[in-house]
Amino acid sequence: MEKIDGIPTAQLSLTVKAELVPIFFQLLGQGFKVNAQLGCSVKELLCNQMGIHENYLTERIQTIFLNAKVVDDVKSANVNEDSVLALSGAMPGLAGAILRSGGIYAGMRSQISHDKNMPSSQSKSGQITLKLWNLVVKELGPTFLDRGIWIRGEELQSFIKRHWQVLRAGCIGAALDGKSATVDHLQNTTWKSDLVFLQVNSNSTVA
Amino acid sequence: MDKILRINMGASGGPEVKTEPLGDYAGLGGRAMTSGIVAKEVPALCHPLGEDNKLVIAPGMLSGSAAAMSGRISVGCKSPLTGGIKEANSGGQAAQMLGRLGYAAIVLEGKPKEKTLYKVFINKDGVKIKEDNGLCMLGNYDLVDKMKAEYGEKVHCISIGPAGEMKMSAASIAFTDMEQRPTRHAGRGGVGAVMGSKGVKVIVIDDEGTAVRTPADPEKFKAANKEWVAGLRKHPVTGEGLPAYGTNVLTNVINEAGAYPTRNFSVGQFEGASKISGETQAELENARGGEGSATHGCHRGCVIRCSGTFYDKNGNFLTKQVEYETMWAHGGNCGIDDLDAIAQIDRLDDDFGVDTIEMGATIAVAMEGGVAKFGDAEAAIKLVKEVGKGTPLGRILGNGAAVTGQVFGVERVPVVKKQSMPAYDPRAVMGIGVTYATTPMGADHTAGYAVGANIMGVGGAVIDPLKPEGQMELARNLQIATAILTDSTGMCLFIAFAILDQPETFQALVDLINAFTGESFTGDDLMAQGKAILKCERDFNFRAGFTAKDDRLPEYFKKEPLAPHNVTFQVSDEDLDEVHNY
Repeated sequence: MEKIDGIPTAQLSLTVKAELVPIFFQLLGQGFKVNAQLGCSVKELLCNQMGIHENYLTERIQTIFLNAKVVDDVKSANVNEDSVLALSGAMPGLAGAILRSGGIYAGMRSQISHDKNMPSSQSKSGQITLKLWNLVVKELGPTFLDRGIWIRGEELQSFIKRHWQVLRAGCIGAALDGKSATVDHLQNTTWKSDLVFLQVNSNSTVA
Repeated sequence: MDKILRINMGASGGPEVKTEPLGDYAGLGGRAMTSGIVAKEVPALCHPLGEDNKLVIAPGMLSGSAAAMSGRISVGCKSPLTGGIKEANSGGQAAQMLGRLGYAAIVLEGKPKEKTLYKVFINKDGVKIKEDNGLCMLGNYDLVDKMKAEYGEKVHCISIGPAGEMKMSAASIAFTDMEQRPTRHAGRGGVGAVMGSKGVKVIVIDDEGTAVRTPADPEKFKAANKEWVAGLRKHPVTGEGLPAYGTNVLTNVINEAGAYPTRNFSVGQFEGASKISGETQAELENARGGEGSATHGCHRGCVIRCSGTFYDKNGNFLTKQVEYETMWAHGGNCGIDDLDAIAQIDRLDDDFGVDTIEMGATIAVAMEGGVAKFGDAEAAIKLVKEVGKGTPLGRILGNGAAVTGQVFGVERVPVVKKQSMPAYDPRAVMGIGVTYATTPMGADHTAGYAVGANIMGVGGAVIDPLKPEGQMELARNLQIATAILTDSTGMCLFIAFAILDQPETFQALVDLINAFTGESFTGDDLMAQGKAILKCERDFNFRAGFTAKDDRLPEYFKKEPLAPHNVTFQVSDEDLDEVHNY
């Protein structure tokens, strides 16, 4: 875990049965924080820092939002402190086609298209919020969960309360701040920290 | 499909059945057929619920054949909601069955003199019509159960619920799905009210003893169909995204874009969106299990299978997988983020026979008018039940958002030509606003669908979509192409993505049409047919009294900035008037 200055943190590591991993995708869809070197392009962030293959970015991630605006050119849209970056596969419907990054109908939503912004003169480390949806979360979600994500304590608490029964059945092991914990214990924990660092490994990953 | 079935419900001595050759309507299917008949035979100034209006039900050009995805059916009439021409379409089994029985259209004409309900039975031996007032005010589910008990487990139904009988302007026509459930609806424009005005509660279809329609060139057809299916399966939208998450996969994306109309179009993002997203819905459906839970087709021959089945907490069937527009209309647009409550409302809508988009938009307008609080799911359920019962409040709501807004003094009423807008705010996605404003159907998200870039430039110079005139041209060509390529062939709208991205798949569709019909259509020919459909529809509307002023969005879209982007609809009236200038 990398500690972010000024933010108290807790660390939760879960090892779960492989079939349980998809329930965590909801957290990835709501948005989670990751550490990053800022002041770079979306492409650089995703490919060079997050390890996403360039072909995957071109072919599978068809709809990209930066701060709620559609990104048409991943090389000229730049990521800064507190940016919110959302990644999706190609979407159905006329609206889906219009929102597609760099699509031929881009002109039909010009008001919500992301303008080019200049890269920051100096790179610095910080956090951005990432949202992963649909095919993208299915395909990239397990890797991000394995590496670890930062989420707000209250979101984690509400998530555990909603899913405690399946978590109880499918959680093989849990460690909170390095100490062994049970799902019941986690459910009754009040998460005081603003941000919690959550890592989820499946037993297949562990094996 | 070589004949048209006409049933004169107003004939002296009871309904009169006549079967005619296609005549002037030869070669038409789906919307081309419904709009062709309505524009030619219905007086544009007639009362939509009167004897001069006609209800036309037409399978697509390829319906009843082995062509994949060809099971859509169109319903046309003069709309009681908009006052203009209407085509609403649906999935379900009826298109394939009518195609195999040889009917290119069923036309309900005239009006019974007495208040009598009829059921129509169609099979290979002909048509039988019986009075059955015992069906009065039955919901679609009970009605279909009765028909199954009477006619057997293999029949399928086209029916109306209580809303259609009460001639409400939001009334839909239900089509049974593969499991004989009335979950598929021609929802828009009050087509159910017109069926109700004809006194027809249900049309029961039995295609036993019929065969799949034979193509003109079977070998070429088989090869084109193979290529067609392969193209649909390999595309990430039609082959992966839609089967896995259904149309509701759009919720997160539209919400992120700030284009998700929330609490009656007051803001563009809903804080509860992730709770009702396609991803969350699929996860819930998969966890609850059951047959066809998260991936299911709406008709035989569907290879995309974007639908599913929603089981309640106890594992009992509740409704089909709630689609994006329904999830939005009864969800974020009413401030509701409870999946089970929204699914329950969807079931009620289907049972009473009302358009889910119109009902959701109407309830949101009613909420703004103080009838209930935004976010109150129980209150929303009660309001829909008022519609089913036909209480005075229910009658108001059942006649749509425009009427409800007027009754409760609400200014923010999101309608065009009195039809409610679907789930995309036109201030954020202005191109969709252009379609809402200018389609002859009233606000409709399916009127200008995405079709191949390879045909977008047909007959004209290369389009620059970043210029206003390019936007108009795109909107125009989308409407033209949609009218012919999906609405008239019987093809599902969702084929659009595969033909948008894969030229070989677009070619496979053209080959499929040509191999089936024996014609040699080109892209230009198809676009010309699409233009002809739009022209005849617009001509009908002008004769019905519509002017350019009806091709406008409500004024508040130009004045009220939409959060989070604080944008307004900025397309000028002059530009809107150019859309159909061809």
